[in-house]
Amino acid sequence: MPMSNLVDVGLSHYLALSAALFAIGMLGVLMRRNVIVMMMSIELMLNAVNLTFVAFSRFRDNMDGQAMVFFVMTVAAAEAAVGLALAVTIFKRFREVNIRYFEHLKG
Amino acid sequence: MKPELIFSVLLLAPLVGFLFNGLRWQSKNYMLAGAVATGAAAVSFAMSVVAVSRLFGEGAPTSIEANFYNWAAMDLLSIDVSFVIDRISALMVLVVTGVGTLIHLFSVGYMSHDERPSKYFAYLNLFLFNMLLLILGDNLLMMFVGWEGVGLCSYLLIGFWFSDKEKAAAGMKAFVTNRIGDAGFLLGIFVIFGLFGSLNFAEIISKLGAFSVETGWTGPITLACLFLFIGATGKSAQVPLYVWLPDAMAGPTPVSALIHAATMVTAGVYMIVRLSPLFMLAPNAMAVVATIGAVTALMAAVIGLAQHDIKKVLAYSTVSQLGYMFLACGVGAFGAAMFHLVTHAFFKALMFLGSGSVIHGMHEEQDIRKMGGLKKYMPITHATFFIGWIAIIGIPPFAGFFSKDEILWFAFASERGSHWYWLAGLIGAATTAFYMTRLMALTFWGKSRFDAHKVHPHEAGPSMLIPLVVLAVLSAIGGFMGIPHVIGEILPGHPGNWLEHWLKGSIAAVPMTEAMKHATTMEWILMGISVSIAGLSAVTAFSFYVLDPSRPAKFVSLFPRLHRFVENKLMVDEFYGAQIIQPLVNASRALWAFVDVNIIDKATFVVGDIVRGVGSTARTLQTGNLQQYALYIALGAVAVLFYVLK
Repeated sequence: MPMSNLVDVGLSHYLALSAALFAIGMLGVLMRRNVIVMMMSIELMLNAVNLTFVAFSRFRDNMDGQAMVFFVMTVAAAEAAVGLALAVTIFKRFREVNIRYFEHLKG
Repeated sequence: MKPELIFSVLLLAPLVGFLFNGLRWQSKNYMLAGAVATGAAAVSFAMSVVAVSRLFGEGAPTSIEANFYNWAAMDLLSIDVSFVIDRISALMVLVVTGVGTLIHLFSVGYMSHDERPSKYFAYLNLFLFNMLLLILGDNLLMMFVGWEGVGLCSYLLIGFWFSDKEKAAAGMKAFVTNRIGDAGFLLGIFVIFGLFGSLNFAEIISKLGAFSVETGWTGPITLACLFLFIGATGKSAQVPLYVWLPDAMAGPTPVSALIHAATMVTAGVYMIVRLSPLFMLAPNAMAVVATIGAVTALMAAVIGLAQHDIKKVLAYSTVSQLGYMFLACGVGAFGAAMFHLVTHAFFKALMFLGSGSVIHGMHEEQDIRKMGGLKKYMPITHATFFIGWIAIIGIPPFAGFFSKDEILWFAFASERGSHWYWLAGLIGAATTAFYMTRLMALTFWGKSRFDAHKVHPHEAGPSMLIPLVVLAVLSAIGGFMGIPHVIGEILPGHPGNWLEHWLKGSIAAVPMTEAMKHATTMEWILMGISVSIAGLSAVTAFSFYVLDPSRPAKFVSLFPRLHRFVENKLMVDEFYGAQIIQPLVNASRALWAFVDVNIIDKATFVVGDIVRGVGSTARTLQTGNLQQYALYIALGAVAVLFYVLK
């Protein structure tokens, strides 16, 4: 199969994409006020990391990275469950899911 | 019985009594409290008799010991919780538990109207336990533990009626004054440990062979002895630390009898007798002991002449008699000191309890100017007090005669004695005879000076009379344990000096001058002088206070200022107040107002301000804003990454 017309995709491309996704996710967490959007941004960061894992796994011929991804996904699911529960509680109380309502938890 | 068992029961009985009464301290059942406490003391006494009886007979050991456990084991210092009854502590333990039991019994009657009898008996038992630690401990540290313990109990019991501010203050005065002495005692212990590497009495004495008699003032043994003596002046109320004892009369009267006459205050004498071979190596220290003893004997007796409180008279008498004991120690007559300690415990406990009976019968009246003629109201108290009186003024053959005369004789005849010590002792004895006769006369004889319609003096109950009678018998015959040789020789059967024989080898021998070793005539002459002077003095007092009661007033009006000076206790308390306490208070106040406020407080405030400033700056970081925190984390992560990847 002729491959010459395709750009040779290497490890650095994956890492660059991953870094970009992570940065976008981080900016989302830091700047957005909506809890749901923030959680989505966290998800984006986690998956950026997952991408790194998989890329390294592929290029180093080592399955450890892919195994790690399962753990990350599991934790992400758990985190989403807790986070959504919090968001629902906040919504019930304030009819909005703005992050600043969490400041009421301050002692 | 094994020694361990004897010592356990002997020591723990009063401790159990303390716990029993201490745990139910609110109970007002004085019969139960008194019965348990007296029973505990009696058990201790019985055990003491069992233990001491082991020392008698052919081939009997000179001591019985028990080592319970090792309290502290360090490289150089090893302290055992171990006890010993030898020929010295045997005398003490019998006196303390025996007289102690009688005084417990007396207390049952005396404290029957008190608000907190259980607490009282708990303290009394605790005192007995600590006193036994002090006596039986076979090293200086155990002695010190007991020494502090009896000090605590003394404080608690002096201030027993603490709702009266003056009484609480008297307790504090005793405690603080004793602290000064105790500091000296501790320093003495340190010096001894440095010298001998041990605190065990037997070990210290066995190592003395390597030392010779010190001549100067700064030798280590002289220093150790002087420091220990400072401790003794505190506990045994000698000049200059005697001021607490007269005030200690604020406590219940049986306490004065037990702690402040018969037992605790003799601890200093006992300690010096224990270490007698050590003191013999420091003639200068002994000279200090003898001089302080003589000065105290004389000074306290003089103050006692013009006191009006029955207990104060007895208190100054106690200080004075303790002075005699130290005089004896100082001239090397340690046996005579022990002898006087024992007889004094009998007759002074007797007189204190007698005064307790009087105070009880007079409804808490203590001023002898408001008594008089009590003989017909309290015949038994009078009769027993009478025996105490002739015992203390030294009329033969009562106890005080033998012991006081032995002290006077050795003060004269010992190498370390002098005519001056003897003279001071003689004048002291004459003064004693005078003030004791005055006390007898004003209290029991002559006309009643109270309003017979308001006050109805009455004789005490049996629990108070039995101890009086027993102590009276002991005061009458107690002296026979130390009959001097000159008298023994002319008596039928030639009784020897049992006490001297008993203590021989346990304490240092009296360093008699060659001339006096066989000066029998001299001893007779001195004895005659002291007895006749004391008798003369007593007769004078009798004529003053009984035959012509107006004479004392006329007599003192000849020199009113001197009389007021003596009546005010030679102004010693005022002197201490002005020269020591006030400057100390002023210095403290200056330190507080300047050093504390301007330097120490300021320094801590500055530190506090800095911390607060840093805190209020730092707290702006912590806003509670989640996203701000996330930003910190992100920045931190970037910083770490930058550092790692650089």
